[in-house]
Amino acid sequence: MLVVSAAIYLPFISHFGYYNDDWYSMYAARVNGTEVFHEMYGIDRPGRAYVMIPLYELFQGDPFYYNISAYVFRLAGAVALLWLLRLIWGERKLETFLIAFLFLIYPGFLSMPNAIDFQSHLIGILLAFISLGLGILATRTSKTTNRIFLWFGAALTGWAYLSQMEYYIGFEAARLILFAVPAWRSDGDWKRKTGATFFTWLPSSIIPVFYLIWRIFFFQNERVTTDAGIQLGSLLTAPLATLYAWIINFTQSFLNVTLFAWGVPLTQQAFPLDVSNNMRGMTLGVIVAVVVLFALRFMDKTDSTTAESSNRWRDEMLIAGLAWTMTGLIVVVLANRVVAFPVYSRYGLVSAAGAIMALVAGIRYLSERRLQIALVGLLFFSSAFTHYANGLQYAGWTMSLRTFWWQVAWRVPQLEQNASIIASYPYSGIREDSFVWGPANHIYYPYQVNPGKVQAGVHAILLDHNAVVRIINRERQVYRKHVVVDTYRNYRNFVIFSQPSPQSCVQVIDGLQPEYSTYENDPILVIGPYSEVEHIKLDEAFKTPPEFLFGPEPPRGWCFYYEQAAYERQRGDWAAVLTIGEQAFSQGLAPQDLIEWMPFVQAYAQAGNSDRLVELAPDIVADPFVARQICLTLSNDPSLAADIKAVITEYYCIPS
Amino acid sequence: MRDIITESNASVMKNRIILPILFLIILSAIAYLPLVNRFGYTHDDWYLMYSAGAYGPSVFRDIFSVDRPMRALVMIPAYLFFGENPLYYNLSAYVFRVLGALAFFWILSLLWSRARTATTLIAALFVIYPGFLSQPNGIDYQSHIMGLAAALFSVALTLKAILSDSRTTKLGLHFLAMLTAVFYLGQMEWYIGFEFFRWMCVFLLAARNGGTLLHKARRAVEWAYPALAGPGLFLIWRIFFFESERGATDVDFQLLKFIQYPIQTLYHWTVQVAQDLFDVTLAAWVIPLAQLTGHIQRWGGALVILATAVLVVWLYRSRLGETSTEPEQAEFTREAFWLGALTAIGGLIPIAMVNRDVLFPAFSRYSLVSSAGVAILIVAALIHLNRRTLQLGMIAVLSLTALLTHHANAVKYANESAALRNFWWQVAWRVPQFEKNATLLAVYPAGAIEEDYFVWGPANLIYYPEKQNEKNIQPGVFAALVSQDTVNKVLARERQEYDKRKNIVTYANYRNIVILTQPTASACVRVIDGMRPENSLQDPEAIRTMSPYSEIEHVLADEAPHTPPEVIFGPEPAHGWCFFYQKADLARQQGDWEAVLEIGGQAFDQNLSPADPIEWMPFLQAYAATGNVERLTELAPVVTADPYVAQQACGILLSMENLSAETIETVDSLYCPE
Repeated sequence: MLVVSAAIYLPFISHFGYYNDDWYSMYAARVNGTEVFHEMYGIDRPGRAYVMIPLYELFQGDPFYYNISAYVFRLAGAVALLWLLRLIWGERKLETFLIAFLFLIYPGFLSMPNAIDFQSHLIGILLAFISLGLGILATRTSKTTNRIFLWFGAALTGWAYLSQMEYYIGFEAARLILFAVPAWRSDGDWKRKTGATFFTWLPSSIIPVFYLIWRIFFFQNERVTTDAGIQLGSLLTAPLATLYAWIINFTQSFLNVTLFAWGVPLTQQAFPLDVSNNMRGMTLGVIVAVVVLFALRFMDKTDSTTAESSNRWRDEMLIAGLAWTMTGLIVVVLANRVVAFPVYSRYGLVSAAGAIMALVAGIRYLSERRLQIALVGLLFFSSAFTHYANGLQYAGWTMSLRTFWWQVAWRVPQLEQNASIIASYPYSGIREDSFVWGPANHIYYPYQVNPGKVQAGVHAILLDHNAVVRIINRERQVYRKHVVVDTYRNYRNFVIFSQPSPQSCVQVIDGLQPEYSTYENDPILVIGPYSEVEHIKLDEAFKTPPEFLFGPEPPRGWCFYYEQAAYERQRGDWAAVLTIGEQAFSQGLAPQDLIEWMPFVQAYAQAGNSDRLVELAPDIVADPFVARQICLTLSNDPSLAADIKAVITEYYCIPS
Repeated sequence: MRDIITESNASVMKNRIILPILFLIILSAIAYLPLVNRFGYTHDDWYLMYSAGAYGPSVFRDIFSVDRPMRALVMIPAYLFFGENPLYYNLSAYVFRVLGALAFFWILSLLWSRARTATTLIAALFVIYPGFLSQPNGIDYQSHIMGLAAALFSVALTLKAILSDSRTTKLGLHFLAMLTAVFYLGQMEWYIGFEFFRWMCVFLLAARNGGTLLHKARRAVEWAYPALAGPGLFLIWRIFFFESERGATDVDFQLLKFIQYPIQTLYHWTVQVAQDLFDVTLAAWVIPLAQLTGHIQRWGGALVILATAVLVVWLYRSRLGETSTEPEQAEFTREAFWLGALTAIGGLIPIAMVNRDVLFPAFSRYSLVSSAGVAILIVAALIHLNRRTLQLGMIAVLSLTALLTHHANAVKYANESAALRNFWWQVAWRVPQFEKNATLLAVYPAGAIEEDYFVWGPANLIYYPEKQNEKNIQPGVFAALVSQDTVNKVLARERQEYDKRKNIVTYANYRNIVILTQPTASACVRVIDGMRPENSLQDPEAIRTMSPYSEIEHVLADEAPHTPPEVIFGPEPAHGWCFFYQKADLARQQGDWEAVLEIGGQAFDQNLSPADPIEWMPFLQAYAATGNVERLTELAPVVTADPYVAQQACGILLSMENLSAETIETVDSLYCPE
């Protein structure tokens, strides 16, 4: 398990950065200290602060260490599950090992690389399995002292895991199901068995009961998604529609967790890979499948020495697994959530172990042994390939984001405080404004800008349809408290940073003279004229992005020179633009996005270098969209000489 | 299987054939017929039906001459029979889908005559296979579906010929198999994957007589070598005589890559087949339904649950997977497993070789050949399950998934047809005639516009339904997709672009555009006037960017109006708000403010009002032009509730000439931002 999971999870571990909620949480901790975690999680899951504070003290926000720690917790969780399952099905070494192993590499959970934010999820899983195991051990111990200790341990770890994620309460249903398995093996009718299960469970009931009492009657929840009252309120306002939605969500989630987790993420993540990564991923998948099948064969031989007493374990495992899956999903569905890949894959975590139990039991129902082997091989292949592709994708995002912000750092010495940024990343994926103001503040405002508050130095506007309309309407500043970070995005006061394609450089749009790449997206075309470059403070010292987050400075290729030239153009230093251009061209560098010729073309025009303008024209007019912008910008520039304008008209303008 | 066991008497035999046939017909009817009368033209239907209508059905020869000339053999008679009515094509598509399933059932019966329950289940899974989503596209897919039926009949005829004792019958059957093979390959050359299936079936029969692998293979060839004639003839014609003008169907073009980069290409094909195999076997039961979940109707869900319940009860009574002897069951599952797996793979190889892949929903058709193998493979796997409840549970899940997918897919097609009909009826109310050779850019409220003919097709069927050019198939108005590429070309003022696809010639002109947009189903269609662009809050940014370039003069306001043909666009919709809006907007273009006021009066008398506030504009302008300050004041709170619209209203109203001072003051104070 250690070797295979390392091969699956570790290849890209040093390439992962911040994702999603990491941006605001790590920024807040960096500028205001770790105590801010209490305020941050106080609104919904106060227990998370007790995980995040020591981890931040240890790792100082470095994503690499968080990823190592996440891997360790994931592995420990799988080992705990193996221990738990062997408490119930001690004789079924192979099957329990297979379940724990498949849980470890379960491809339905795709947030492993988002290690900072998911630290609590993974610790919660580990604690939940330990709690369930201790609970079972407590029922088997005859010595009262041991029983009390074990029961106490189960309660403590139980509350601890619930403090991390309230929707993990589905594990308490799993506890009941696991207590029922041994009870159902005994003689007697169903009433007697039910009674035995209930009385075994009764001491453990304090875990969910006390937690729920605290959660419902004492804790003041400020977050809608984790507020039981608000979530269940929809049932009262629209009972039929809510019930219908719950049934649909439940069915969809159930199928996703049990079956589709092994295929859908694979098609989403792995199939679109390029050929070389496809080969690498497939090779990893095949090696993992072969190694695992070999190991399982060895185990099976050892296992076969133990006589198979009965086939009852299959029924038990199948029924218990299905029940665990369903109960784990009920909480998720009641909170109006659904297991969906890849974004909401985490909601399947509680049910995953149950679903895998049912799957393994189902495979063992197959009469054809070769079919069983083929299916197990396929499951491991699918997992390995999916996680390879998932890791590659996360690493790609980080790489792209680091490149983006390094280019911004080359172009922008400092951003005016309280300015707003609109950014367009080449791989999109900006779901929250913190994905933009987070990195910007880590570079430009890595300190407390407002005493006593966590406030971003610069803010960001999420580029969507709504933002476009607000900008056109010239709407004013909007305040938003991003959990703990105060932000003030301003639709009249922003600057656009756009990298329209992976081969383009970051382009700062100047609303007074907007220039757009051929690859530019439509919303930027609409709002470009409103972008204000004066929010860039040209005379300040350049800032260096912190290496723990943005990596070392990338090699200085075309984009470095383009950014520097664009900076000099904004300063109006045409001679500097020409010098930078010569440095770039002497190294054989040239833009892949033709709009990036613009600062140099303007500098040549200003310098009256018509030869160079003529020389560049054939390359540039290959893109009429760029040529027309050059034509319009330079033809209307009153500072240019008439002969230069004539060259522009002749070589860059398309006749009407 | 219990029903592999005995066939006791004639009546039982008859029931064992008639009942499965009835079952397949009913099951497929539940999957495909409930909304069949609501499907309209979609995708390639637009250019096919426009061309046939304007240039006569013989035009199909020209259109298909570039890639699949024999498709004209289907489309010409189909057009002669069904004319322009999509309902008949969709009914015909259903009939051929069922015939295909029956032919498949016949093949399975010839292979495993005593496994009636299993073979019926296989045929059922085949006919409702959820990976093929183009069934409601009945016109264009007539050839696919007819070809599918022909291919399966061809295989069945070969098997029947092998099993037949009479030499004359053998010859006759082989001859028919050859004819149907040439026919089906003529419809879709990538259906050649069915030849894998044919030879797998023959090999399976030959293998039952024992011997080494070589013996079995030789026996198979000896039994069925006449079946090589059909595909052989087709391939000779295709490779040596036919010049395909379309990359995807050009054998030389496709094989060139292999010759240039053999190892990379071979690797790519292998990976593609592996990925497609995953798609056709597993993803087909998941992805399409996940994509279509939002279209499921309650009545549809109830119907599907009922049908699945009946299926499960029938299977429960039929006792799937039980046999009189263990070896008999093992033999069936072994044969079925290999036949299914190899057919599924074989059907994908030709697709990978032409660098295509299975993709839901756009390229779901490429799963068709393999779907036969997938159905066999699934049933073989199900029989391996030792638990009866698990078997039935899995079948219930498969049935539910497949039927729900087809239901949701049908709802989606029907809704898109309705939205599109409504769109063009509104255009017809608004636009008496488009100037010839104008280029249209449209935004539909539902369904993606993947090709320019999704727009010029309906436009020409209304405005230029007759022949426009003696030499070429050429529509009267053209279209361009609303895309980043088009935005760039429009902003760069690029010129006319010649395009010839399937022998249809178009000249999209980026300096000559008129924009028609209906951003949501509740909004009306708006024709954008670039001199005075009005944008809805919901308009896509691309439209906002290009609006200043939209030339309303391509709308010939003084021509006689055109009525959309009912058979294609349905009857005229009830005259709601959008009717009055379109008429008012037309009157505004004509400069007839009195008419605008009169139309407005009629609409408001009926308590009609716009869902999208930008549609107040013609009326606001009319009130401003006539100095109706009272009405402007009355409407101000409604309009300014949307600041984006208010801002535009302010700009447009204040730019009007000859406004009274009082009107200007009212507009300035009530509509313009502070």
